[in-house]
Amino acid sequence: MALASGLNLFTKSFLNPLRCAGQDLAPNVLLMAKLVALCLLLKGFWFKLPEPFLPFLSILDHVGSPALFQGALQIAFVASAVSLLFNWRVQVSCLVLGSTILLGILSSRPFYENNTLFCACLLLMAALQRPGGKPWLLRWQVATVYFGAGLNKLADVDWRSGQFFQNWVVGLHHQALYTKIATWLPGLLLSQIMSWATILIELSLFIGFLAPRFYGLAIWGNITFQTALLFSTGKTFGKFYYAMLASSLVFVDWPKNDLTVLYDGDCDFCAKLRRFFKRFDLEGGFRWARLQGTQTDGGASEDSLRGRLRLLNGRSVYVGFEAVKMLLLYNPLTYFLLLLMLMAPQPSFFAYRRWVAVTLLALFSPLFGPLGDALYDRATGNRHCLPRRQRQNPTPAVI
Amino acid sequence: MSRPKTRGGSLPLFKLFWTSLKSHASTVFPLGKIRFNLVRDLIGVAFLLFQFSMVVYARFVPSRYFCWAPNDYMVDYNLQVLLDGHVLNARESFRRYRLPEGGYQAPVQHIIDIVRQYEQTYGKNDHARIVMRYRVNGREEKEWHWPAD
Repeated sequence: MALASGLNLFTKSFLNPLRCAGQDLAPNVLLMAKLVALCLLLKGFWFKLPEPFLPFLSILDHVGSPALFQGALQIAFVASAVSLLFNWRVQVSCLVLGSTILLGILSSRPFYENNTLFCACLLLMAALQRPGGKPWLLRWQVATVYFGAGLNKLADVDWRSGQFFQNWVVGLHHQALYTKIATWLPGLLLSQIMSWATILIELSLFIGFLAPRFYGLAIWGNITFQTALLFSTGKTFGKFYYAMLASSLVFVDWPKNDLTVLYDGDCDFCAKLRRFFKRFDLEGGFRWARLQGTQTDGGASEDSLRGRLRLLNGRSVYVGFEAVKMLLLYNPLTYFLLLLMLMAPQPSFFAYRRWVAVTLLALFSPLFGPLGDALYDRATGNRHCLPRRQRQNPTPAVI
Repeated sequence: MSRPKTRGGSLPLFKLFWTSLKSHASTVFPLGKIRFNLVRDLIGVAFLLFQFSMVVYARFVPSRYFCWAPNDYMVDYNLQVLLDGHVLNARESFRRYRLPEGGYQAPVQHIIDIVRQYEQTYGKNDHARIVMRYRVNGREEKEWHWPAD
């Protein structure tokens, strides 16, 4: 009993690594930083932090004992990553963590990788983020990556001609289906199309991430593009896939106030959903209220909403499956679980990560909405009403 | 141990300083906060400008450091390192420079920079002779020599 209450106290406390609210950083920015830190920890990144070896700055060759330097980097890395996860001085932790990785890069040329540099940049920009302000530095950081990537491809003759793509997909990844389709078309036409599509997507994402009105489109474009790369190559490019997906969070308008969820008090399925989501709502960000007796806006009749959850976020209203989806997407716990699912080791005989990634993308994408709604209605269609005694007490209590 | 109740000495001076600091805090602090935020923003903007300038700089040089050109090149290469009259095997060669075996997904200039820097610093007295054979993006094979012919 004492253990259970202690555990309950911990899950509700700010030290809980799964919580992101109530800190100097906005919940979505802190969540992004935590996901990057967790990804680095799960990859055992601290083991890879180098000693000075062919540094970019020659001064780093004269910092004393290389082993001591490496040890100091590793200790700083682990300490700052753990303190970030446990919500202790989150911005200082981001600063130390990002600086440690950047110092590691500067101290060794062979250690230089774009995906590592990207993680360092995200953490440093999170550290420089004004408390309470919009994360514009982080947004520009993500846009800069796409600008650099798109421009470099556009300026490269092997990208424009399709030579890189042909060599990469056919020569390196031995994509049988791609090779077969390519033979139907003249020369490098398919590779040329793919190359130009990549260039256009990257430059479009650069523009999309700069214009707030395109954020929604750019987020979906970013996730779809990165997942397509993972699916076609089976590679996450080190930490790049995870970091790029996590960076999408900084473009999300994360709710500042509690969200209200209206549920049908007479619906067994809805009650189960409520219990499920309340159990995993570590931030206490959702207020649940019975639909019966609660004033509904927009003229929707109570009958039309029976059996359907209704999530209210400012002027946006999500109903049914869409509400369930948003309940998941506005809960930081979901992202930790997704990261663990995507980072789980896969056996050599079945590389399932790409399938998990595509399935998750499909489930959360707007395209799945109609099917999701149908499944949701089917589940609630079988709802059985609670005993009359409970139905006679339709108090619109906020739980 | 209780605090000494001295009227003279350093304690009143400290009190005076502290009181003065507290009285000015309300006026000084917002300014400090604004400056702190400004410095933060400036560092962030400088960091972004550095990246943008590296993206532009990359148009004029063969290397691609800090300019976001991830996996835009595929280099197949092997190294032949002649050291004190004997040739290192492939694994020894790659380990000497801590380079990955089986392909390098960055411009070939990065490999050249690594090998050259090693031979100019740590391996200066080894007088190694190196031949690197490489293909970029599946194109024709090329060679690079150290020391340069």
